[in-house]
Amino acid sequence: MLGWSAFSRLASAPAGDLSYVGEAGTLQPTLVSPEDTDETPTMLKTKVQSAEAILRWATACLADHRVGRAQLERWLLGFQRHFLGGEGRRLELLTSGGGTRSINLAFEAVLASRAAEPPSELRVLTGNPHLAVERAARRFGFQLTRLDVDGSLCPRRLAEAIRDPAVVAVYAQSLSYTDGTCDDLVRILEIVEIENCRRVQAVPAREAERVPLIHLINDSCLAFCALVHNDGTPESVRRGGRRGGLRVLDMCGASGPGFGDSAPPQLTPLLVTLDAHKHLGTDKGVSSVIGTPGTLERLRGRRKVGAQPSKGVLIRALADMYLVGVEGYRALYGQLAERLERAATDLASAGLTIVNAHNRPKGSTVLACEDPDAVMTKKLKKRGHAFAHLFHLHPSGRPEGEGRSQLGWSLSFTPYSLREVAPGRTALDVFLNDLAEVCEHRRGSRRPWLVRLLSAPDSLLSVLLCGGVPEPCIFTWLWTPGWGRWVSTTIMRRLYGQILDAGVIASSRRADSLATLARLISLVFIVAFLLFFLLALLLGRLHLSLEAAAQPHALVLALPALGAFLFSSSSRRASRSPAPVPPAR
Amino acid sequence: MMVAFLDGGGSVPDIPLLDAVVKQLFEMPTQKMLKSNGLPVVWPEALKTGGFSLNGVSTQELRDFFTSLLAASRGTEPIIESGNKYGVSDAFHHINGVLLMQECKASPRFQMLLQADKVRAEEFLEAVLFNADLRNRNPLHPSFIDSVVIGNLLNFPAHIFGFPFASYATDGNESLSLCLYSYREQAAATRGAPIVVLYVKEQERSTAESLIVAQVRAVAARLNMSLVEVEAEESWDAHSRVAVVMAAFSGTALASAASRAFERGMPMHVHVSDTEWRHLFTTHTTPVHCELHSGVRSLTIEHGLLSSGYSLYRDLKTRDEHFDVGHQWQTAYMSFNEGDVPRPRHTQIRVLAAVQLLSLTLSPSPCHVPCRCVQGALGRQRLCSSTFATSCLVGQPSAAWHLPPPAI
Repeated sequence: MLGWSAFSRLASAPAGDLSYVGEAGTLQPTLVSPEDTDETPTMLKTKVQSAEAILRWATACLADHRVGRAQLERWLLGFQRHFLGGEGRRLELLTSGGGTRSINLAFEAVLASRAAEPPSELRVLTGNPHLAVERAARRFGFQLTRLDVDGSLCPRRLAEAIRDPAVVAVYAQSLSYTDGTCDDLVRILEIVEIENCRRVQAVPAREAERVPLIHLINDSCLAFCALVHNDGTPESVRRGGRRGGLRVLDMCGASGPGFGDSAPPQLTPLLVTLDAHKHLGTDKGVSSVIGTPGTLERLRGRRKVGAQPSKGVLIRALADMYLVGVEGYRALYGQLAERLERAATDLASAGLTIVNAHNRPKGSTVLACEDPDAVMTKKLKKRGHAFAHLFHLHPSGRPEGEGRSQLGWSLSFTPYSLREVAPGRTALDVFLNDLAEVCEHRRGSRRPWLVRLLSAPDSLLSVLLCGGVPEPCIFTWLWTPGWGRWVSTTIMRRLYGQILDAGVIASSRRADSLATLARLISLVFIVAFLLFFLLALLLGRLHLSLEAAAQPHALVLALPALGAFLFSSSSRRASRSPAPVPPAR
Repeated sequence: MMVAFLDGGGSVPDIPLLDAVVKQLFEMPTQKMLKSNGLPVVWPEALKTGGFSLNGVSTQELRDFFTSLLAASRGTEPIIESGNKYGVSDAFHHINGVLLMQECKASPRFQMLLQADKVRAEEFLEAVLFNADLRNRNPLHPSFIDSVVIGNLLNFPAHIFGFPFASYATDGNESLSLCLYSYREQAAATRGAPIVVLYVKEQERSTAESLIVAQVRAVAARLNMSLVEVEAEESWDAHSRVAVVMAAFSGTALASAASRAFERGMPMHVHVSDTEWRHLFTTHTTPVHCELHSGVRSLTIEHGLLSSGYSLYRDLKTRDEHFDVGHQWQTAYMSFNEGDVPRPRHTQIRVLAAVQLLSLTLSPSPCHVPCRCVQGALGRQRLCSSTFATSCLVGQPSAAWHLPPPAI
């Protein structure tokens, strides 16, 4: 907008490849010592500050060159530890631009511990994790084994699989993106610790330090609300059982309180990820991975792939967090969790099947429901709600029973859902009301007999005949190699590709390729038809050709072709101007 | 022979009709997600008429554009959706807007502008940074606004280099990593275990090239690929497990390497350093574009002048390959780059970058002016010795952490 000359000036500002030179281009984990128990800046310690006071502090930080990455990251962790645990522990920290990147860093740290072995010979065990784990496996080349039962990592299966010497890490989550369940972290940590002890004891004492230990990677990126409610205190353990403690950093180490009957684990290296831009609400691009001593330190000096949050981004994140304060977050998420608990009860009483309800922890912000033939999704979509589609919910087969399905919908709720959209009514209220109406309408209805006759439940045909949304059905094909996977993958890619390819400026791209093709085809038909006449004329057989033209089949060819040509010409005119069309001013 | 720059703004080329038709057919099921509500968008006059504006657009034009864009997207946002907006506190918008503005105005790039441009830039920033609907967007929840902004922003590098497809990442290394990963996957399907990135060296190695090579080596190693350097005239026969060929953008080896790669059916990739990218603008006071050998299948641009890394592709396949889709998950999810949110210089920055760029070089029609070669080469890479390295109008790159602060 400033013009080319201004842009040239911007380009002449000092810069170059220096961003990749020295420490700036490499990963530099921040070390947090046990003495750094409270890392809150002094001025913000005393009481809740006004927005103006926080702005003054942030402005001073921006201008103060002594405030560097390490300091800001310590402050960040200092705040997050109120919810994440690990206070008074020696920790290492790296910030990244997002949860997937933090997960990548965690895996890189794990693989670095076995750098001498090819990644393809190393194995990671997990339950039903975020796509990030599958992506990391593809990129870094390690083996990934899923041991999930009802959406969670099964401790029994884990105990069997973990004895494989190739196992290098266990990936467990505090809150699943799919269905809002959590893994049994206490039991999982116990199993990993037992195996690590076994590995250490299997070698002579002098080699114990070199024994490759199994890391526990705990994905808490989305779990902020669950962390608030499951802090491992006797009260939360009494309420939530083993799932009452999700703060893994509090569970192990000499000073950790531990959970269950066993002594606190001592050996297992831990890596925990948490996003500040999710439920902490900061601007996008602030995620962190926190490790116990010696984990992230292995990455020191490695080239960065993916930028880290800049100084400005971290200061803004801190300013936001300090504005709300620890108690503010507790109150906000207490309110959200309470509201969602009531919503879950309402859903269950309305006859909906909540996906893996028995594995949901208190404070789970993800609510997922089964939706036979994806009909409910369609109806709610029409009322202005948007879902994440769920599919292939029961890999071992659809359970029998009313309302059970392989398809479903999922919503990750945020405090934004508590905003008022009408006097006295929050967005969540509106949603629940719409849901109740849809459920009421659905109550007692069965699949039409013709649909039952023609198609299996949750099949594409059934979904289409019942008026559901086809997407979850199409995405089910992702699970099986073949053309179905190719089709669903391509549709997914084209959706996101459209965002990247939507530019109309300086573009010679055709606005509408289908119209162009239609125009071309119709032109060919018209030309062929005219040639036929000309040829007939030239050959002096006009009489015969007119007879031929009068035949129905010739008209059938010519008229649609002409119509298509006219239509495509008009649609071309409409699509010529940059979409959306600038009005005459 | 080095890269030649041609007068005129260039254009994002089209792809063969049948390919475009197939692409469009697969876009149809999801097309409506990116549709406006039917209201028109008021494009700045300079863009509408198609001319390249040396002086850019006025603040009012910019405001009209965004106001109409927001109006055109209103009513398409859901009441309840999964994630996306967290809404912890409305006060965040003001605090973050003020801080972003301070950061922008303190950046060395802002300081380089003429006084009149500074005033205009500040007004532009104000229009975006203090608007809660424009600042801090998440394009992974596809919407009309994001597609208009990001799509047109990506047309900027794409039209200079003449590539039909583009993408972005948080930095140049990430963009490079995505491309190398794509080539590794493509080659794995056809040639067994391809783990080599073949880098064709310049006859005389500069410090800048050494830096780039070290960078590529590290990125490749992370993907279990190794970098093998060869002389320009050296035979490639000894290297059978080549996934992709690379050469320096401003070097003399590029054209011949691209030609050889093309003949052998090997893809070629070029990584443009920030120095090279900046040099393009500092040495050309009017818009230029360049035509690279068709053997160059993709190109990445290091972050620095632009706030993110960018990647350009000749074909969809290479870009598609790094659009990861889960095969064993129960919900559909995807991101353009190596993460879930497009990070520090996320959408608000992209909005700004687009704001900067839209009227700079983007003309709705291809350049019809007969092209002439105005410069034979970018010349030898220039290593900047400045103490405070690159900084952008919004957000500071990592280098700033370890270097003395700017004089404010």
